Amino acid sequence: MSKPTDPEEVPVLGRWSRWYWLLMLALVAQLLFFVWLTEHFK
Amino acid sequence: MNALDWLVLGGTIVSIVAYGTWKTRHQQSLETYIKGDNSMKWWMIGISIMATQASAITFLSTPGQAMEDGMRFLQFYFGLPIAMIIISVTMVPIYYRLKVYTAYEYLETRFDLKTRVLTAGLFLILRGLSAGITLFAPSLVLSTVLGWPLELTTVLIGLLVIIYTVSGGNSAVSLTQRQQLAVVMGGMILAGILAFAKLPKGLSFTDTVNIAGALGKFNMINVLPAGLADTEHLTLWQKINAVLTDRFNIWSGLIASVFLFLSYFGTDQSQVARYLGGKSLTESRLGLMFNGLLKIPMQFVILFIGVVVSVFYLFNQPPVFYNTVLKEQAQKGGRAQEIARFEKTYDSIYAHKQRAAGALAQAVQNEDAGGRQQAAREIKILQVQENQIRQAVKQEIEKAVPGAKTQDRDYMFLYFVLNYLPHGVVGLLLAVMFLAAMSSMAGELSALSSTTSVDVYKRLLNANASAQHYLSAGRWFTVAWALLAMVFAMLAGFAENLIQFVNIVGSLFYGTILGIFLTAFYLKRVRGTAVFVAALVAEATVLYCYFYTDLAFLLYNIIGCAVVMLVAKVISFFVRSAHPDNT
Repeated sequence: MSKPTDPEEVPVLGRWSRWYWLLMLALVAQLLFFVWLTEHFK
Repeated sequence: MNALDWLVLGGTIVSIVAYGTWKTRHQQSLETYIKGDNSMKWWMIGISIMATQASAITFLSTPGQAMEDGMRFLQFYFGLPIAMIIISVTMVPIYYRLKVYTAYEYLETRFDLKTRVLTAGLFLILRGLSAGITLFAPSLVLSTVLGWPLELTTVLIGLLVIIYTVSGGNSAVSLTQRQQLAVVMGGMILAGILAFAKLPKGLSFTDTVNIAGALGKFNMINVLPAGLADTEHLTLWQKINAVLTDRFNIWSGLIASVFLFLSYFGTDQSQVARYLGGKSLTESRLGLMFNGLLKIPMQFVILFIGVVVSVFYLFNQPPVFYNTVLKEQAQKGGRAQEIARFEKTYDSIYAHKQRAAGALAQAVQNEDAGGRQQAAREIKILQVQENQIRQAVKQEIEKAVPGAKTQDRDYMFLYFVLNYLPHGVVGLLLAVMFLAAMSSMAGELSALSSTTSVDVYKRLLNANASAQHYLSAGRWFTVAWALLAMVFAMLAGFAENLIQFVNIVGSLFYGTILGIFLTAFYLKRVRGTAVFVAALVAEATVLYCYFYTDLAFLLYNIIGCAVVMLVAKVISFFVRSAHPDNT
């Protein structure tokens, strides 16, 4: 087994924000669609 | 079921198993057996993740859930995309950097051996028990509708999975999952289209959606629990309490389920193995994004199919009890007269409901808002009466067949398939259920085998054997876990309490496991012993909550996780104060 990694060196944040924002946008769009469906066809 | 159905059912299953086994037959080391040849593209990873999560019960039970309860179950998945992003940012790069085989290997690198073994052990208990349930639930339903003994369906599904999982390992699991999910979703969508085609002539898609909406089926956003009347008089605390005890609402979906999905997708080897087989870090992350993007629409489609079938049952009489085999058993057991009496009342209620449904359809087509509201109200009242009759019939069945499982939600969709869909499609839909059971069980067995091989056998028992030896050990562990799951599935039929216990086992352990991983990622100064003790304290706390409080199970995930992180931080603080050099 390799030696324990220094916890300070463990990477925490990745650099991929564009895709993450797009996914959040898709989630918000889906939620808005569901709100519309819930309210419109009540 | 006729010859065509059997041909489609057998042909689909055998060809997928045979292709998967043949295509992945050359496995030479434990590494390729566990991770594949690291050639998976993002869409393959995404499909594999979705197929592992969606078990047969997803496709059996979810349409029935929509028929009974509307689409509010969808809210449970709202936290999933958020969890996918957190996992992509924090966990996946670390697993890649350290080139681990299993998620638990990382814990030894970050903490120590005992923390790794404890977490791997918690996973093996949790996933080992749930593999039995993954097999039991569809085996029971399929054995009932096919008229086969439970043992036969259990052994059949188990053996089919063993064939390709033992032979091809993770590559075979991922390859077959692609074909399985394609057949599963294709079959479900076809069933939905056919259900729609069987609605009365002249009823358009919009009309169908309008009818379902009038009957409250599109309850996808619940800020307060569905059916909670007179909310204006409730205090804020009463409203919070109502939300906390309600199973599906927007708050539990967006907050509590994030913890559950973080734990499931980030620390459960059955999912971690899916994206560790990726071609690169980017492909793995994209695979998770793919799952985050498509999971909610996929559940939406399955629930929507249930809604269409529920509209179909407005114009075609549904049975009073959907598990017809159990009903016949009760009739033979001396309750025939009572059940017949209830069925007569049920028929007359349905006659009224059918008329009201006709009026509702007409009002919708004429855009008559008042008529629509009135007809919908009438149908809802009749549905309450129908439910009372259904409840009474269930009680009669319980009297005739003591200990019988009278929850018939899992049979609702299959009843429609078997009685209203054309031959060939019936065989396809039964294949859908078998394939869904196989795809999630294969993912679980593969993960159980790799965790046993890597975290227990290779690390603790036999560290210096040949590559061939470890490969063969991995295969034997797969067989052993499959046999254990089959035995468990057969025993589960005799012990109802066992199933209930297993259903909450996930929540009992997931919080602690997630807490250990989040401590590893975010509390950088915490060391092994502190997190190990904290995990034991957290597990004791969760078990205390289970035995001595009425808290909802979903909250155990948050409690377990929070206790691990808090206690680990406190212990670490005092240890550092006592030994300032040891930081």
